[in-house]
Amino acid sequence: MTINAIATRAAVTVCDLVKVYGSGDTAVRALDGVSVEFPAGRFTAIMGPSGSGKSTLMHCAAGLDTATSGSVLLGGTDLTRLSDGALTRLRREKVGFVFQSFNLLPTLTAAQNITLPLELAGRRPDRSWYDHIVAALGLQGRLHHTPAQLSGGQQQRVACARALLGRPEVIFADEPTGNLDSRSGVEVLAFLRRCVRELEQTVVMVTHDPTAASYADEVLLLRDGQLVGRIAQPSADAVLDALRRLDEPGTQLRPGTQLRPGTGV
Amino acid sequence: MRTVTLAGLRAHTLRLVATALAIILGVGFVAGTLVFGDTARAALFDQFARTAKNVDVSVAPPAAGKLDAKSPELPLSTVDAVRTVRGVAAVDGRMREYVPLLDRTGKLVGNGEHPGVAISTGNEPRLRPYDVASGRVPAGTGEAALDNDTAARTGYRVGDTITVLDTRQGKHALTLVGLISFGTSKQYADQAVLVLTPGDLTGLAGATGYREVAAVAAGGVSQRTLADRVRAALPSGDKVSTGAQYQYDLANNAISQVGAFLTVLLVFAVIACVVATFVIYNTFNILVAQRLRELALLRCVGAGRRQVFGLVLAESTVVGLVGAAAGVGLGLAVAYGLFSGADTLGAALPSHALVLTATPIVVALLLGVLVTVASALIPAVRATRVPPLAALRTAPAQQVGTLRGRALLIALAVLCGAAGTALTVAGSRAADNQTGILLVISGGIVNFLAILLLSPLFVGPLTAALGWLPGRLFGVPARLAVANARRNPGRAAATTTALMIGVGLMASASVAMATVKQTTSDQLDAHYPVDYILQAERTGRQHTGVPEQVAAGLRARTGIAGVAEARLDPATVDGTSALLGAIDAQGLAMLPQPQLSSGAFGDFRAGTVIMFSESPAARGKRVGDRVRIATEAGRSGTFTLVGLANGRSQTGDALLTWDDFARLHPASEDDMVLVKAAPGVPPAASRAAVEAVTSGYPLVSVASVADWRAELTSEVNQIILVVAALLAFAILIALIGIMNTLSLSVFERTRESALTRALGLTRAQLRATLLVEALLMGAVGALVGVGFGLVYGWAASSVLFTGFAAVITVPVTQLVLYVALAALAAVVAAVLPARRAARASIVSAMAET
Repeated sequence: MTINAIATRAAVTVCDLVKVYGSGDTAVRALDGVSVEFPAGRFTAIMGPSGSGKSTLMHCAAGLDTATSGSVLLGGTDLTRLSDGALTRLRREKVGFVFQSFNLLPTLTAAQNITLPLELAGRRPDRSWYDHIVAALGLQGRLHHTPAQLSGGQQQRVACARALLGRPEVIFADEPTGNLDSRSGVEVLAFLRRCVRELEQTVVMVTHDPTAASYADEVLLLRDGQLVGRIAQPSADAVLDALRRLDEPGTQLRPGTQLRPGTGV
Repeated sequence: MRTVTLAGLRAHTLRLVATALAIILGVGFVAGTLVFGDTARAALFDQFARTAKNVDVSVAPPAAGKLDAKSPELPLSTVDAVRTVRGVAAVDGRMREYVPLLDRTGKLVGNGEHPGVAISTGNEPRLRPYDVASGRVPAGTGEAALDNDTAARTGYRVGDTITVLDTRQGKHALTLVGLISFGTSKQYADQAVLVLTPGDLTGLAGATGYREVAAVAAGGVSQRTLADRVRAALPSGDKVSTGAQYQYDLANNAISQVGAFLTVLLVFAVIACVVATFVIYNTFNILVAQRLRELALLRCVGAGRRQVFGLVLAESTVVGLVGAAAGVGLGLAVAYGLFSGADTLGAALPSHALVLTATPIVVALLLGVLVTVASALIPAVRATRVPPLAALRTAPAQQVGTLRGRALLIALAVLCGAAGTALTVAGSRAADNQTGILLVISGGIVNFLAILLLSPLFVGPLTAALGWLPGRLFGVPARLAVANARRNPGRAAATTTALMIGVGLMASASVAMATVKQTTSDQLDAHYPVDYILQAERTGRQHTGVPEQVAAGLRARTGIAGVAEARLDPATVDGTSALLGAIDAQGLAMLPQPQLSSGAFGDFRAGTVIMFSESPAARGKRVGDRVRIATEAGRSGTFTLVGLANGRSQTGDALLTWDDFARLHPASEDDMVLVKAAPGVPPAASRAAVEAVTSGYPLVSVASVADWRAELTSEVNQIILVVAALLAFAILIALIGIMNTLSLSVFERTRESALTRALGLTRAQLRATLLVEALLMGAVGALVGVGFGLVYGWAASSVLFTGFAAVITVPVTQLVLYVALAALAAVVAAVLPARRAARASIVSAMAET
């Protein structure tokens, strides 16, 4: 497959990225020379079987993990050359995160969690933008609740609001629907897609749920640390097909890559 | 970031309570000691305000001090000299001497240590240091006034006839014409205080001058000006001070006695703070470990390392401040307790309301914050090392000490151990025991540091060794407990260390005190192989003794096997001062012979002397030397040294024959009479026999060696109790530490505990696991502490005694009791955490992340 030439600016450019865990006999090449661009204003999903390196790719692209070799360009800066302090500033200003679980500080209210990155950076949140996001996510009535008092879907929406508030270059979402029931999952995914469509936000999502992946503009397929395919404008079926083919040569399908019954668009 | 800090504090309130408690206790102790010190100072100042009332200028002899014949007095002419100074409105000479007062039954009124004191009436009412409670001030010879308290104790009333003893122990009858009061002042403690006319003080007590002369300034003359004028008018040696300075000096003199007690208290307060440091360090360490994911998430959303560091430090600052503030409150209670308890500890203080100045508050707050923040430093640094990625991992990675770190630890510990041992050895070889004990103590501290450094390495194996038996007895729960206790050696070490300090000090004190008790008791046997020791209380300016009729009377009694008379006299031997002693021939035969390092006791006869090697006068002397002995009264003689004895003796540095001594010091009184009861006579009977003879001599006190021994034992036990009470804070803090560590571990292991429950561990077994874990921690801490205490108790007590070897005694029962109590206390501390762990439902605990 060839790289789709889309006439847009790249938000994140990954070049020949290698990540090796361990050393000697026990060395594992989690990423084996991956090069990819995440175009700005698009919703990209990264898929692949367990151990394919999709999470590692995201961690390296977000500056959470350091690569063994290769480079990551985010908004014009090479992350692999940054110090811890510079990476921290980058996470504050240019990156938003939504995780599968333990997204929020349990000790803070929803509102405090949303404004936390800006407070860490010593910035004041843009009031109207904050109100807009809170309204868009339907969080008005829940702002003064602590995470423990929120449902999983609500917690995830708070995490989305937090990621969006700083108008980051890119939002990384790591299995954002992994712990949610299907309805809440759909809500979160729909919101992420709205962010991309209406606010031209860049979103990169790691998932192993083909239905979730079908909300993206493009799906990247990884196997054994290498980029092995891309699907533009994916449907759940197309993704499932691709994943099956991915697993054909000699390997069996992992249960995790199966479509969950009952989740449809 | 402030929001995060505050929210964190709110969320972890419960977990921080134990930390705050440790600070409250430590700071409370320090603040209490300081408040107590301020209050004691204020009380003593008020007390002496009465003595210094209206005094504008005070004159004291060159070296004022104790009431005895040697202390100088101001000549009677001083009053006249002061009176003529321009600006003096009134002047009074104050006499003060010992005058023994007898009660209605003819026994001495005393507080066991001193006979009564008599002060002069004072011809200037303004300058009297007392108030007249009833009756009037003595106006002439044969009249006396008595202090309220003694009057109440003896039942004497105005108009009664009272009996006092003069310097020759002759009885004199005086008429009681008034009662006086000193207000709240306890300047004379429980002593009987008589007021006599100067004439009677001279006649009865042999007063030849004034202890002090006080003057009042005329209007418009300042204290300073008057003091300068008085100084110019008197001999240069006299100490002239202003009234303000006089009161200050009086109070300071008393305060310096309280000061030593304060220093001891502060030392223990600091120990409590050190223990608190370990507890706080541990708590913050655990909190950081537990909040790994939270901290990582903060890092993910953009918190810098400095911000995470600041977060932990800010938390510790708030906890420190809150704890210190509460500690000041506790300090007031502690100060109140100390003030009421000071009497029992031998520091008589006048009553006074608590004084709270800014210093204790500021010191307490600073100390609380400092201790907490310092303890949280390492955990805070550790927090900054949490990688953002940790937020995404399901299980936090275990922290494993690096090999290099371990090597560094061992190297440091070995260095400390070498330095500590060197200090200890140097201390035990030091010439004087004051520097010796200091060196041993600093050696102990440095060596303890070595143990601290190494504790992460040995606490684990020690726990395993101790856990072997419970493992056999209780099976799986005990084995799980051992595994849990060993899981985090650093944490286990810090937890047990807190207890180690307390128990180590307890054990050191116990071993040292047991050794002191045994050694002193042995010395008592060696020096006093007798049953009763008779000595006389002093009276007036004279040094009094036991009249020789007493010894004669005793010898005539049945039930008494032997009597030895000992006489002493200060003298010089070849110019060096030494106490001259002699024992009558019969007594010399009764008492054991001194152990001679050279010479022979058989050569001891008229014209010879035996000297004790501890005395400076014996330095460089050899058997066969001719020595010249001169008494203060001016008699002298030359004697041949026939023996050098080891150590020192209670009966003088230089022993002469009875007759030689009598020639140098003719007297009719013995300084000491030693009595040996006949074998088989019950103590009550022998005591009655002795007292039948002494009843005619009120000043003669009878001490039984058995009583001494009992007193010694009770004193030693009391010291151990006081040390235990002072260490209670430290030990309590250490136990809080154990409770805290365990409850935090319970919290940490919620899922794990649920898993073991799911696999078939019963609630009771889970509880047992935690209790055994606590038991092991307590036992390990106490055992190491006791081991340390054994070594240092031995080292310290062997330095305490010079001249003879200390009989090292190990109070085994006591030490075993300490370990058992520490282990038990640890189990008690674990009851609540264990209950909480056992109560958790399996399903919800498993679901928790």
